[in-house]
Amino acid sequence: MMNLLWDNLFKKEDATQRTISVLSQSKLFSRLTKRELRVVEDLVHERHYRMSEAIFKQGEIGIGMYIIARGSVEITVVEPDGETSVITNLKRGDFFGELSLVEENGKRTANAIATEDSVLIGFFKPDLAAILQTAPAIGAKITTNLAEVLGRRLKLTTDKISQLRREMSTLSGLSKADEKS
Amino acid sequence: MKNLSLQIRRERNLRLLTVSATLLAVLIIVFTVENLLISLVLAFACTYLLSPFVRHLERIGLSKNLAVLIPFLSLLILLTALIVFTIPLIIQQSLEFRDELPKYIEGASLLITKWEQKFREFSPYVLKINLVENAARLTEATVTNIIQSAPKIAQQLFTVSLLSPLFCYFLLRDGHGISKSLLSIFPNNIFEMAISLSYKINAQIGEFIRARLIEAVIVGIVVWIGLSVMNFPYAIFLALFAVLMNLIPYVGPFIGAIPAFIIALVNQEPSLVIMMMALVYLIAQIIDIIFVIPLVVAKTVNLHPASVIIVFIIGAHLMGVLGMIIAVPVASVFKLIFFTIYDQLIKFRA
Repeated sequence: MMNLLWDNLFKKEDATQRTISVLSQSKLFSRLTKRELRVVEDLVHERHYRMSEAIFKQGEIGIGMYIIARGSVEITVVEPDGETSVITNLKRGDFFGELSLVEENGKRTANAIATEDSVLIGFFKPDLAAILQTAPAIGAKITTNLAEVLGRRLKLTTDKISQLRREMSTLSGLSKADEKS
Repeated sequence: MKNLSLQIRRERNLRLLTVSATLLAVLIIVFTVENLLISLVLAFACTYLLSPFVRHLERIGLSKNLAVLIPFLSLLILLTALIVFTIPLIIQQSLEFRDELPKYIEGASLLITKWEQKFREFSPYVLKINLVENAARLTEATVTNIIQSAPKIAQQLFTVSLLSPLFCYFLLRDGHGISKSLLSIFPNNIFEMAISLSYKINAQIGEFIRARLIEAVIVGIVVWIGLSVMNFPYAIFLALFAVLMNLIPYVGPFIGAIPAFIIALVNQEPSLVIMMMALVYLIAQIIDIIFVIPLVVAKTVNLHPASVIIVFIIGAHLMGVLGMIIAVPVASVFKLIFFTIYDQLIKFRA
């Protein structure tokens, strides 16, 4: 009985350390000290997913983000014609769904599916609100990191749009030249 | 692949069954174990009242234990001081009431007889019941019931006063951990919805309880001061009754004023006293409507007044005074659950 209690106690401590290690490697919590990471660890949710299990589906109301502690996740999008295309494959330490942390009743814009048995750390809007209320200094660090991540993603999207426009104008130029000739 | 999705579905169903069984077991225990429900209601009310202070102390850097202990002990000391201060007054007014009870019964009988005569003159065929006899029988039965159940009420008060502070302390300290453990057993497909719901319910009930308590205390203080200045009998009892009734939205303030009017009418007080007394209750309600409601109550009761009256009647029928008080927050939680599930499941699938 005593052994079982000790085992459970150590198992919990192991899980805590594992979560702290995953959080510290994530861009969102990178500026946090060990003590601050313990505060965040107390709030986040560890979730286990089977291979091919959906974490969330496109169109659902999302309230937060996930960090991959173990396993891998595939992000897919259902196109208007019904075809499903793979956007990216994510592995340990990567995170996704962070836009939901700042959106009001924001809907998921893609599907997230576990491609193997995975462990994810969920961090949601109520958790962020709780940190901002009880430990604003930690909350400020997280929101600054979040703003940086979202800013970088916005810049990448803008660059992609510009590149696509350039490609489209090149293509239309080529087709006009074809018509003339 | 088919096997995997079957396994996922089986696990989800098992988790959903575990969640439902846990919630059902908790409900059965709460409703069947004597004094548990009232102790929990009081503990939750105190927890919601103190949680902003706990959050503030945590924000300025205090440890969780200290941040819980300081407001908890402060409330305990404040309540003890309040009880010590008001008990001599309550005993004095109870003795006065005991001495004057025959006078009130006689006065009430006279009053009812007068009304009965007037009513008979107006409509001789409608009223065939003897109001005086019925009222006397009802009063006698109520008084006997109170006297007989006094030891049981004292025992209940003792148990509740021990249990509710204990529950309140643990809810303040471990409430987040308890809710996190409960959320961990929810199936993956409804987990985010459960988190969102628990957060919304927590915020809504917290706001509702804090608003109602602040409002009721302000109304109680105004009534107590007003009636005491007028030298009106049983000011403290009437103020406490007004506090309790003000916890019920819309209809509470009216019910809260009824005993004072009965006492004034039985005592055959001059019209000026009745008008002044009505003014006291009116001032309390004006302060409530102009200052308190817009500041603290607005948007916390998201139910239509007609729905409030219906749930109030259901609450009163099922659980008496406690039912009247908890009916509105319980109904607003049900409404929240319904619309969240509707938004997440039905709208999404449509």
